[in-house]
Amino acid sequence: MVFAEDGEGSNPAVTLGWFAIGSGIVANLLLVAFKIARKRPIAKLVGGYESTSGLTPFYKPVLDLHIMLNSVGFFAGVAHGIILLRGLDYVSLSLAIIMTFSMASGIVLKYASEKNLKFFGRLAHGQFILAVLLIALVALHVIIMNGN
Amino acid sequence: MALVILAMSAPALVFAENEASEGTSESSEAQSATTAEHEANDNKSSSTNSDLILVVTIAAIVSVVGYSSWKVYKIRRRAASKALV
Repeated sequence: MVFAEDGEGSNPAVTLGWFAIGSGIVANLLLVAFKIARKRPIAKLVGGYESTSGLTPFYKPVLDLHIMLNSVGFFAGVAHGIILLRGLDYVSLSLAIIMTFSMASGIVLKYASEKNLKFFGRLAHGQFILAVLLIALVALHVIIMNGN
Repeated sequence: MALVILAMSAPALVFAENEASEGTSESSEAQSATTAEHEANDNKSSSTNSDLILVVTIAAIVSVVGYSSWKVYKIRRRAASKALV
């Protein structure tokens, strides 16, 4: 098995992998934090509460950043996987499948014009179980590869 | 819910296996044979866990697709019945 400890292409491959993880964390935490902040009224500094409708204009830029960072992270992950293809195991394969499904459902959500397809994309892309599985598989992949 | 619990426990299972598989080296042939046998067993159970992870992943995706399709179908049916009324 080939792991990222030998020869040519191993350091760029490892860097690509960490880059994919980092950009994914930033992209997803950003959108989640924004959605949480938008749902809850924020406390004024002097006391009391104000509406978060002021955050609405920022939704599109935050969403665009989420899409861009996740896309870059996805392709970095694909490049990482292709370089280290000989070291493919079931955990890496599962991670690749989950990432591809998330990417595909995001594309459907963003670009589908037919109402039902868009709704399907929204449901599929936003499932909590996929987020949990993605985090678990990334952690597992890092643990296994560091162990080897 | 069961899939979520299984997905969360998978890293702990594999981590425990990695720790268990790190053993100390032994000098005698009998001991090294025993060690080889243990390693084979560890590899086998590690492979089984990896298979399980892949199965869980595919099952999760299939269930998400199925659930989303069902929801879309339910809403279409409700809209169609309202249109008839």
